[in-house]
Amino acid sequence: MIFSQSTSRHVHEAAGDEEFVVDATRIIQEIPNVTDGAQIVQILHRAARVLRADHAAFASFLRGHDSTESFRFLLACNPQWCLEYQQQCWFAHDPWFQYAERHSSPICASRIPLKTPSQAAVVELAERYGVASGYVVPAPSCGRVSRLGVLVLGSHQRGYFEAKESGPIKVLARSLSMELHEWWVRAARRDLVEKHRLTSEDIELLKMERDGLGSKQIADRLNTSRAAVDSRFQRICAKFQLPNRRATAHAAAEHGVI
Amino acid sequence: MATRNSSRPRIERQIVTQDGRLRFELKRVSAGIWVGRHHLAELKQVEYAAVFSERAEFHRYLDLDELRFRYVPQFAELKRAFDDLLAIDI
Repeated sequence: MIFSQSTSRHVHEAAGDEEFVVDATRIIQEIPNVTDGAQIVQILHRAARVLRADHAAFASFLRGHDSTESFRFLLACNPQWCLEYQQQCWFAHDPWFQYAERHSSPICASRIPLKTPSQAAVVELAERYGVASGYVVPAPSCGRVSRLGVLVLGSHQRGYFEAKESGPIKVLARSLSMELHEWWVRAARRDLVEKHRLTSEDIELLKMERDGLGSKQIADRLNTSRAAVDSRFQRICAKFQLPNRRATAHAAAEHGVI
Repeated sequence: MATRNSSRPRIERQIVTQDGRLRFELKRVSAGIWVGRHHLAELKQVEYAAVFSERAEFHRYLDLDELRFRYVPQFAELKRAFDDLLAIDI
């Protein structure tokens, strides 16, 4: 099993090391060029190592129009942790996820209050898999979407991230989280466009729908008839297998297509 | 003149259950085997990806997966595919 190897250097010592910052930045900058799922996991491993974390996991969430929930995890940690997490259905009780839904600032996991036994159980599970100290780094989305990402860095050493939430670590972790989130959005967009064979015209129509334009306004913009616009939307909705253009535009937005 | 070797082993595999609800993707990478697991349940879709460098660890991981009882042949095929890919030198 590949785990990121922690060094004896404490995180706030490493944070003052220019080389550490350069190394982390260089790895993060590779992310936009990655299209392969295997490569992105290996980048997460390398980034966690440079950030002196023993474990790292990036989770991405989005909600479909019919309340379908989609969770995706990139793991630089023991995958058994994620398997057990899924089998216990901890998604709804994860205090770190819930924190990321409402906040944008990174935080030590220990500073997130646990309000229910289920939330405590989620944290205990993480500790059992070696996360004695955790750093939770949200990657929020803007716009009317449920899409959310969160990076968790973990250490075997209790109090590791709590000792000092130093500037470079916070900035680098935030940058890593946002780049990973953007990677997921690009992958989701690519998959959706490919799956539904969307054309640039389809996407343009969906954007206008999302902007609140009606058929007549769209027809005027495209110099066509309202009937033609309605017909085009029917075909696009059929591609998505969704009941109406509003749901279709919403799905496209959630997947980063518009 | 050097000739291209046309019999290179496949370094990727995909294993899908008959109902299409569970899919595994495997790929030989320098650090081991990248494994993607995609499960579509009723109202939830869960995907995760990790790299395994050891056979025993992957087999142990599969043995914890509750879906192994529902998709017995696919899990057996998975173990074989993992072992085959890990044996490939890259």
